[in-house]
Amino acid sequence: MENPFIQKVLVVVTLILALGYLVSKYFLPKKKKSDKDCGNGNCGC
Amino acid sequence: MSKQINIALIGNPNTGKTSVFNALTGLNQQVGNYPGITVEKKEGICKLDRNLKAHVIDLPGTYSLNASSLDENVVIELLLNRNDKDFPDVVVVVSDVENLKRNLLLFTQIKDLEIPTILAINMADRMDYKGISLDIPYLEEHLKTKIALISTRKKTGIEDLKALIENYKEMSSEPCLKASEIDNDYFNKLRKAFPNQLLYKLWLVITQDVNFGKTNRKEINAINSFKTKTKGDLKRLQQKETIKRYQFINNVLKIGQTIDVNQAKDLRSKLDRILTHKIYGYLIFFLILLVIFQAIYDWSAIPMEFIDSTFAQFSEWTKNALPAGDFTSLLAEGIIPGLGGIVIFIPQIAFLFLFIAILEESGYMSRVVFLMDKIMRRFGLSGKSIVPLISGTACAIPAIMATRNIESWKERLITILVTPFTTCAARLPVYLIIISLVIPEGSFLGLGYQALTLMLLYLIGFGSAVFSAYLLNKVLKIQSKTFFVVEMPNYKLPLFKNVALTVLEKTKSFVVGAGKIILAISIVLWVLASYGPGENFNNAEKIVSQKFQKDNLNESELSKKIASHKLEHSFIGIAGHAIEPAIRPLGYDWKIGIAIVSSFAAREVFVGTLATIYSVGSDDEETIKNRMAGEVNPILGGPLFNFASGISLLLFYAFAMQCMSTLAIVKRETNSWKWPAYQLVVMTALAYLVALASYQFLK
Repeated sequence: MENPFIQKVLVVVTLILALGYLVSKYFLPKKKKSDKDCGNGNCGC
Repeated sequence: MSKQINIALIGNPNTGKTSVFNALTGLNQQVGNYPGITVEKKEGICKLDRNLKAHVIDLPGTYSLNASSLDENVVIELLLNRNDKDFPDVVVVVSDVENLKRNLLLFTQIKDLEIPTILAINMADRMDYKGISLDIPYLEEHLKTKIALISTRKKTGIEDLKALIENYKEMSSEPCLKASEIDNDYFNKLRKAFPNQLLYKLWLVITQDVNFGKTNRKEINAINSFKTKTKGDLKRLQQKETIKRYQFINNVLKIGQTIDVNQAKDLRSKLDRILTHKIYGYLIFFLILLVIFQAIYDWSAIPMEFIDSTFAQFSEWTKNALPAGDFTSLLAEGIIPGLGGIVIFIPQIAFLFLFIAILEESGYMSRVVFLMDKIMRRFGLSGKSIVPLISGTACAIPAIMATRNIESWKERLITILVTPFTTCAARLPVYLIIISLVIPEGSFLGLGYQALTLMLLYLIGFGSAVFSAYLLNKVLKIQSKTFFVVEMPNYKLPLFKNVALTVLEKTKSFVVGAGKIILAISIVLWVLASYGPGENFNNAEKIVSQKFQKDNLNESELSKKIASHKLEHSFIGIAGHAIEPAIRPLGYDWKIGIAIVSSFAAREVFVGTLATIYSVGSDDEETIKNRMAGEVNPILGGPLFNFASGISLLLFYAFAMQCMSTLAIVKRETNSWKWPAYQLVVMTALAYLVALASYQFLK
């Protein structure tokens, strides 16, 4: 881990994972949890 | 030869139905199973007079004819199948005098099947005790039935019930609710398709998934194939039916039933008289709130200090134990302080949920709902709105979903729009850290200033919600009217297991839910704060060394100056300086500005962001609080977090709509982007103006 290059690579990987999580949380449509029909106001329960 | 009729005893669970069955049949009873299923079937013989005997069936307890279990299926299958040998000539609906409203839902459904139905109101001996009086002729007229007031405990009224059963042929079989009221167009089509069938029976056949026996299977299949509505639409209509029934029941009970708690003699009623009193009730609630907020502060001080210093030590240890480099800095200055910014609040959040769980478990929260209903109505909200507003103290998302049981669209919309004003758990970390920095630790009459400030912020949140509701009620031109009846549970000692599970589950969901976002944002912020474009960032050491060459700074002071210079010229520093003109009038510097912008996604990110920004480049083992306390206002000098800027920040977070998940849920519940956009713009503008005014006034 003393190699600065490896440390930089680890930072980039961590950053990509963090950005990926934030994008999937706030910008990608969520998967419906079940097919149960909840009427018009489908709550996805 | 004596004639025999069939009687079905039906009722909600725990209404004393089996006691009525025993009183009617005595020892003439037998227990078996319904064919093919393991649901117990109790039947017996009751002698009514010399020529008339009754075959009595005690059917399983059910809350409505909307079946959700095998037991409930048995009731519906029998009532819909006239060819069944047990099909009742008369139904006796057994209800409990203390829960008449809930019991009448089932009664009205059975009545609408046009079967002669008697209402037996059990536990009548408790009416005096509970201060309940019933206008029996009024109820009989409007429910189109005959009523027997009985007490199986005192063995009264059973003979009256038998007399009513004997004369069942004289009873009206007129329905309580016309089925077509549920949806006129749909029921007209149904009537045309099946002209000889009872509409409500058809409706139950279509909506209930039950077995109807061989005899009329063909006919039932034909009805089942009548598909002009989707499953979802049918469910919506079922909800509409329940609402219509409760509206009918509320109207009847408004005159037919009087509950005078002042006349009640039991302990519960005595407690209710005090806890829901128009003056003492509010006073007691206010005192309980004071005790809760004081306890949150007193009890959590030691664990919070422990967590804070543990994270600071852990961060320092990581820096020393791992090889120096970018990733080590990310761990020590980004991830660990960021996570510390959320973990530190676990004690206070757990104590808050502990008190809320105890109040709910003990039955007191229902009294608060009742108490608040009186205030809510004046502001255009229904009593049901208090449930979302109170649960909003945990999180606005489930609170907004809880508005689904508000029948009136206008009241529901107003509740959805104002719920984000209530102080959710995500605001708590922001409040707690700022209060600890700017409000002195002294006390007044044993109540700490910090606890009082926190309580005041909760009251500001609640007051803003109610005041906004009042304004929206005036502005929104939607006509509506609803009723509110709350069922008061009995008082009971909270079960340790239930309370512990609630605290554990709520705290866990807050920490895990918020923790993931904070971890991710801390990583991004650290990268933005640790790298930057241009000469100013890349040659920071050289520039700072030249600049302070004459000052003879020691190594530690010089490295602090370099870290500060790098931060100012990092990506985040450039962005922070760009927004600084907008936030400077509020008393904030660019670092607070970055924390506000990053917490637009979720409020709880604020503390983690500041913890990360203040940690970048720092060599000291410092707690989050100490780092924030040490920040200096770059223009005015003195502490950055002073009374004026602290109050300004507290008020900004009290009003600002900083939660993307809440906006998404409002969009889903209102089926429009208009309302969340309105919320975002109005709440942010209000937060900015209030924060601006407070800072300019207090500075």
